[in-house]
Amino acid sequence: MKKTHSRTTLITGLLALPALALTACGGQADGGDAESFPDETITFITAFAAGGANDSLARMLAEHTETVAEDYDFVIENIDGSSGSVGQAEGAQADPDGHTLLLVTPSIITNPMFNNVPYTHESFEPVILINSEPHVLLVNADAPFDDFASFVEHAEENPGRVSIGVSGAETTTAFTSRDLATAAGIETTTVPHDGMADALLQAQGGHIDGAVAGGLTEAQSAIDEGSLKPILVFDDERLEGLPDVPTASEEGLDTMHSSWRGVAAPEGTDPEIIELCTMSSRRRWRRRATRRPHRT
Amino acid sequence: MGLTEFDVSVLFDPLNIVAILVGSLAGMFFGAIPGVGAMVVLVLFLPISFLLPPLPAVLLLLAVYQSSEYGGSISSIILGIPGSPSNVATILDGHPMAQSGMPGKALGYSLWASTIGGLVGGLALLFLAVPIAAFAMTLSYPEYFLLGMLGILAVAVISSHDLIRSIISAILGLMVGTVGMDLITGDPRFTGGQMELYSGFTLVAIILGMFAFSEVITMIRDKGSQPAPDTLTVKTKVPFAELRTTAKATTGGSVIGSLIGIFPGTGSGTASWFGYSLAKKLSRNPDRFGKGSPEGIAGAESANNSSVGGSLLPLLTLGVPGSPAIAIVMGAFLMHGIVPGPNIFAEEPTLTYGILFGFLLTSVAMFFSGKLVTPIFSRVLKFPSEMLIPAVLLISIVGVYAANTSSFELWVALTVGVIAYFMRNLGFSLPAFVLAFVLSGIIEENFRRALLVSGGDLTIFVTRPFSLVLVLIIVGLVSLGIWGKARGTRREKILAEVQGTDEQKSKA
Repeated sequence: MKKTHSRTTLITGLLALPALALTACGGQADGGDAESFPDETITFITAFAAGGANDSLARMLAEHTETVAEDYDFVIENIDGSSGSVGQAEGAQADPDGHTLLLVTPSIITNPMFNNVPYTHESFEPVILINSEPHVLLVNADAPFDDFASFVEHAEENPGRVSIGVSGAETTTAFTSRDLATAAGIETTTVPHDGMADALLQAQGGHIDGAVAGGLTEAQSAIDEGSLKPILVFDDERLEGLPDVPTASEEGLDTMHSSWRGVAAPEGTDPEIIELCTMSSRRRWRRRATRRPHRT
Repeated sequence: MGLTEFDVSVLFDPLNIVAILVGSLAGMFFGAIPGVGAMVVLVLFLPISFLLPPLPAVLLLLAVYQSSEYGGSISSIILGIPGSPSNVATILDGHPMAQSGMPGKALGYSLWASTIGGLVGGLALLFLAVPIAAFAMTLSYPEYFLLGMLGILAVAVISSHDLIRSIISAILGLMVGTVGMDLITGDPRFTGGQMELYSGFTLVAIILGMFAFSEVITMIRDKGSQPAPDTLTVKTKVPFAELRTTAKATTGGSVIGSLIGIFPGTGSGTASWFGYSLAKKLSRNPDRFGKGSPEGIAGAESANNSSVGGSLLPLLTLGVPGSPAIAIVMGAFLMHGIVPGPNIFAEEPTLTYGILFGFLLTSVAMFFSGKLVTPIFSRVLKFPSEMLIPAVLLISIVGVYAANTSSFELWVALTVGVIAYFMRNLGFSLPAFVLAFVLSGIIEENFRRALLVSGGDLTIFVTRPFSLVLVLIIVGLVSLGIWGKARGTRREKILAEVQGTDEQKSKA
């Protein structure tokens, strides 16, 4: 009971920051077009299916903002399809008046790289970064290796036979897995799945040797349960939740990867609105951060 | 806290009861709209669930899910247009029965089977959650692949008249399933540069095109030649003696549905096909299948409802949603700050056991709201076709659009509808196409993942115990089928020869 609670607080805490920031955009705006903002319902596009982690995040964010600032009214639009391309295209082509916002993930960079889509990441103006979590390498608890050094050793002895599950073919976790192989000079097999949960489940069952999770949050329950153990954090700083797990830079590897979520507006949105948002969000963030340092 | 210590009175909190009743009625009404499956209704109700405390929120969504599986069978039976992907198999016997003048009875069979299926799924959830979760962990890519292959064998079951054409339909379905991004390499395949096709054709557009649009074209062609509506009996009551004849089909469908539901990613659509095939295999009158057999309705409908309980299992025990619809229910958990997973039983016992017991109540609520609502729907066929055609077309368009708010899908549905019209008239099986399309992803991806992990070694399919069992079942079914066919043709030949000699004799 207690564990769930603290996790809930952490999530709400994380969410509260940008939610306040978004509120701040309107509340403290005082010039030009920004003054009357928002004068209609804000459409908040989520380029992923309803019910998923991204969608839940968008809804929590909108709900929270609505309760804090009364003049804000959001409608969440789930435009699912083609790994987010359809919704992202919609977001990029929307009227740049600040009344259409998009929940963005690294896929706004990777989708235009691999597919023929009518936008690039430059079609968006960043409004705010919601969270960013470093990727984590997890292995099955019964795997014949229990730390990163023995993992590398095992992979060197069995080239190509160590399988790492990732969330999809062209997702950030897939890049992390391949980059790890290059950086560590080992040969592994990257196995794409239909979402992270599926990859973690296969690693838990021991059908693959390990998985790269796009952050600690999504792997937490498997770690708590004891079926997966984290052996590497793709960052240069240890995670608070995993104080005993070494980082990539400690292991002498130049592979740092994270999954992030943020809010963006279509390119051409009045810089004043965006500037106001960013400025006030920073202020809010810092104030909040100093008051509740453990929540950052 | 264990199963027996749960205070059941928690469930009878008025808010929980209201949530279940509202969910049941709404799921049924919306689910009955062609193309509007459990997914769309759940998305509609997700924001409402945020306003409720966790238990009623989850119960509301589960009631919606549960009863929209039955609701979908309403339009399958009445119009021959599946309400959702999981009700395609219901058309095969439900629609002929409705056309033969007994739409009410067909719905009655469906309601009974759905309710029993829902209860069996709920009981499986209640008593087998822990052992089954452990079993599900031992399954991986080879088993998923073989399960898909086993499903494809149902093509032989659903095609009573022309096996070759059904096989062609199924192969077309598999081929259409390859459109979109290759899930292993990420390359777009056969998309024609169309961004909307990167994730492939959506099931809703295909199904509505195949069944709704082509049905509308057929209706326009056959204008005025409908059976006289006065002969229809709308009574939904099914005498107990008749209901008993479907007992075997319902039991089989319920058990197999609960099992299929546990496989993450398969869902109720696949389950209904397994239920239908099993019902035909178990039946004493397999010849009646496809012509309005109550057992066909019972097999398919009990399976899709029992899979709902099954698909909730991996969510509660592993934190993995067993179907896309359950993924939406998972959203309700997340919004309340509860992370489903192995620890949820220990951390949130009241909620978890409340859900398990409440799930049984959703089946009961579905039965009574079904009794209430069904007679209204069974009168739909009394409408003259001049009114029905435009209404169905309009509703179908709304259904396709509502699924993804994309007008591209409307064009897909329309094109598919025209093609399907010709397929239908040339005797190619549409259900076989849909079945193969549904299974194509499961089959291809898991075959390739299995080989990725094994390093290209095909023995992975026979060295794993459960996988070997599946291989043996498939080999057994196929050889039985071929043997039966061979014997059948020999008998026909002999018969023909005997007849021939008889004729010669009579001539002589």
